[in-house]
Amino acid sequence: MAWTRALLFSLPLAALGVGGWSAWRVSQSTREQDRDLVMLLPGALPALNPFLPANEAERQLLDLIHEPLIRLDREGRLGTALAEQWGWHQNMTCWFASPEAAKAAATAVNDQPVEKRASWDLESVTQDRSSLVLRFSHPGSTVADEVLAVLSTQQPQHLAFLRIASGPETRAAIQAYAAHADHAPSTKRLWFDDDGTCELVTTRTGLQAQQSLMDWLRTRQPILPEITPMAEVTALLEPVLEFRLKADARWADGTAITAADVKATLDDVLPRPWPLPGRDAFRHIQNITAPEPGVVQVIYRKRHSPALPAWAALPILPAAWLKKTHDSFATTPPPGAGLWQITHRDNRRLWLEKRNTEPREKLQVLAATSPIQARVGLATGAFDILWPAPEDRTTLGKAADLRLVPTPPHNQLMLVWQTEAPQLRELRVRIALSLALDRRALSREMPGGTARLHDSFFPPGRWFSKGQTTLRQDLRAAEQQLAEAGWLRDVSGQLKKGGAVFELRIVIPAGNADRQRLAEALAASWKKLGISVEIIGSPPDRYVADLRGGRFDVALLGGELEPGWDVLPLWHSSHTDGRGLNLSRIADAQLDLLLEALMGEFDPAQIPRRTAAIESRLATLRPALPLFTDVAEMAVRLTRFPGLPELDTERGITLRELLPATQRQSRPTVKFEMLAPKASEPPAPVPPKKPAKLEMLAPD
Amino acid sequence: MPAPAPHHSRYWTALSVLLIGAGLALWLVQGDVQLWFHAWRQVLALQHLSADLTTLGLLIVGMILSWSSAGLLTTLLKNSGPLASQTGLIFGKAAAFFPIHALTWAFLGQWIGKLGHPIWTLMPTEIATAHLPALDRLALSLWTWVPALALLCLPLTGQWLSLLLRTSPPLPPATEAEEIIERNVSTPHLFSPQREEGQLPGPSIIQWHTSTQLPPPARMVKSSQPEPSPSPVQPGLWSSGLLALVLLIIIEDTLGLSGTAAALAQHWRAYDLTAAASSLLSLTCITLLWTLIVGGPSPWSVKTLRHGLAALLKVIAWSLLLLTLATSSFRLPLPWFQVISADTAFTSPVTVLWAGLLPMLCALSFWLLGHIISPRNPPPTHA
Repeated sequence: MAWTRALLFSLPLAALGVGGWSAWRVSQSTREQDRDLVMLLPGALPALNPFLPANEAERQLLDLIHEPLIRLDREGRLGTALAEQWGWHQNMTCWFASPEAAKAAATAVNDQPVEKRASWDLESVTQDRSSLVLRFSHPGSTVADEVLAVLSTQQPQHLAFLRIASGPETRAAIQAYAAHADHAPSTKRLWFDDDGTCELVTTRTGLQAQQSLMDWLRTRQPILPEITPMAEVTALLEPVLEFRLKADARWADGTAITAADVKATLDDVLPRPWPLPGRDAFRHIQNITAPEPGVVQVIYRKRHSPALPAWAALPILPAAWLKKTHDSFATTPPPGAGLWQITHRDNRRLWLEKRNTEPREKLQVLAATSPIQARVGLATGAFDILWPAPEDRTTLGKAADLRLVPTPPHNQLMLVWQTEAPQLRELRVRIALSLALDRRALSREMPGGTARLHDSFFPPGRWFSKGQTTLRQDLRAAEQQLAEAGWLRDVSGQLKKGGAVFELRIVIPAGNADRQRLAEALAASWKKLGISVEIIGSPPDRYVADLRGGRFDVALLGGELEPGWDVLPLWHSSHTDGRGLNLSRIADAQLDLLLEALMGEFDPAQIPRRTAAIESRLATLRPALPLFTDVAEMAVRLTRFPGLPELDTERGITLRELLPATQRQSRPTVKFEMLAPKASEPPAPVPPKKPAKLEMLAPD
Repeated sequence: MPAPAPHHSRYWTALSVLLIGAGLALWLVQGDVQLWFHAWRQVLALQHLSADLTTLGLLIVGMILSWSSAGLLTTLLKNSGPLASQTGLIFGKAAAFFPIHALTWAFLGQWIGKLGHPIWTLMPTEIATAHLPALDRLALSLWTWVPALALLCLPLTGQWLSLLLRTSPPLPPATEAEEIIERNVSTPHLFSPQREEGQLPGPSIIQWHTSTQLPPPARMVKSSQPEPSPSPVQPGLWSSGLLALVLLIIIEDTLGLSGTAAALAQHWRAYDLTAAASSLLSLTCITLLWTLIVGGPSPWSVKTLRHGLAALLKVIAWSLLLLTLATSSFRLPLPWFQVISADTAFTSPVTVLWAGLLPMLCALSFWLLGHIISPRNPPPTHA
């Protein structure tokens, strides 16, 4: 009884005392100013698959952890990352009947006058048994015929191209054919496309090789693929991209980054169905080699200048790790070569630490598994960076010490007109439909109610991008354009031409609420002109097929911004066959030529001129109307980032740029602005004393 | 006379708990037996052991603390007279019926939103504790559990208080007892309709009032062969444990504790039904363990219509509370209950408390009605 009484009295009082003391101690605890940086993510911790970021927060984290060979800098220019130098070359490879013939050919080339060799931009001549590799300093060199004329004395072997329309299941059999002792000496190149289509280069004649391969496959494949002999050439011209890696480019364990890592990364990622930016460019890679330590040589099978910027979007992973890990990065995020490394991870937290810094800089990433964590963090001041969910925006608006900072765009959205549709065939109609839209109002229908206006056919913020222009809504001009095209309102206000009602079908992916909302806003705008608009939801698995089949009038086409200038698949007439991406079905010879010229342009200084020409042509043809790029924002605690005001947040800043802003810049920022004469304008007189503008931005 | 409670009732209760839990889990996985077996395998492989231990630990500590707190309060109230006891009973029940999510959110709103103090489980930033004294580190560690236990103890203490006060009413004054004896002695025979029934004190009174001279009716009760009745604490233990588990679903979920109860709500909301079934089976096992330790509920028998009506009203009262909690935790579309948002809680914690008042009053009204119309000396039940 006494025990019960003691328990009755002592236990609640003791619990009250302990609980109260604990609460009092907690209320006294304060955050330390020199603690780790804390970042709060909405939802669970990301998987950190470098090729499949689920949202902008994950993308930015991956940008800290991983490093590509080259990067796009703040001005949208190509800058160093793992590689400190890069450059294009061109290899010309010839095969001869014997090593002696190859040697003689090499001698013949070397015996040419120095002036002639210099005019060829010939860098080196290398003999490899019976083959001869001539390396030119510029891709697309036009001197191939002259060089071949010199080599012809030794009768280089003819090369035949075979195209095998096979599926992926035939790949192993074709590889076995190429490796077989009977065929390996004659097989010079073997290349597979994503869909299994194969291209084989052989020193046999086209017909011989075709017959030989058919005989080989007949016993190994139930269905024989179509094998077509293509052109025959004397020399193989292959563009070569060479990267020289930085001497300190190393993995966290201290091992050097090599060409093998680059090759292993591509071999691992290309077969996976992930939306890899620049995938088209990587498909054209013939081989990746390391001619010397610290050099990565990428040999392409065709000239494709956007292949260079594509490397800016490919994080390089360690070959050793890839070799022993086969789980699609689902359970273990791969290690990267970036400045920050994952040091620890549990279910709800992730710690990153900056490499080679003293004192150690740490970033703690928290998963907001409970919906109120953002609120809690806000109230307790427990985070420095927050990636807000839409519902957090109202709360964040009230927080005085937080600032919403945009990140650079990664996706774009455009309206594609089906230019073969009867009512849209006429240019005036497409102009009128564009004029009827108030894009600023439409941007409020985008996810989160925000979007950046975008009116270029190329990605924004690159050195070759055009500046922003203002497209204003002008209903009167739109009506005038329609009237000139013969579309007039009847008494009921409906737009008609020759008795036919103006009808538009907007096709969107079914079940996509964001697209539905935007399509409804578009329809409302066009209905003001008297147009009858129908919104059709196409099942997501059939959406692209519907668009490629031309079963639409207007489509909303979203996509990831490419790192380079490869817009050829979207507008070239060769991609209108129902399989390509030219959904608008625009076919214009001049545009085709401009696009092809851009793809073959390897001089970065010339890229802006060529993109401007394409931009201008597309603006004339109007196969589509660029609408928006996306806006993702992070909330940043101003007191923790005193250097933030020095950053130019207009274009959006990355986490990589933000993290050093925990300290003010200790030295003046020098901003160079090159004043180069514009190609399209007559050269302006250059002020004699001020050839370039140098701005000194002293710290506060 | 009702049959005495069988000794093996705990095993029947345990079996019932197991069957109900397993049945609900099967319903959760939409009758897919393979998924159901998978969920069982996860439970039996102790994959959620740490979560199970979290919930079980909170349950046991919460029960001990609330029982002792209620015992203390009962003693104090009984010594303050019958009015205080009756008031305590009603306030205790009101605390038990107060929606726990309103209480939790109000606490969070005040502690975090207004005062800006942390709850570790919601904001798991690493605090630099290395330089702190051991006692302070202990205090900070304790804070992980203190809010959850405090919130759990409030309604549980209320429930215990009402149970203890009902099963141990205050003794009548000695003079009154003498009058009763006098009247009874003057009655011609025991079965006369004029005979006034003596009010028999409960066993707890006998236990707690050893220091006082028992009045004659109590002595009569002690000397006679009493009807075997279960302990007033044991049935309350089982049902209070069940109530504690339900409350823990909301408390763990809202405070971000990694317990099995929270996992059930979270998996349900995420439509991960297999994981939800697994969590439900874990909870079933915890309930099973609880049943085997403390025994089952006392058997219910509806002797009269009055008994039945009273029981029905009390069942309605508890159902109202459960529906309110389900609205919060499982996002069930029940429009007549207000869903509390974090915004409201952080802006105005008092508003959240007011939001909990209406469902509480509703449930309390039904319970009080049932209490009023129930027979004067009902068998002690967990209701």
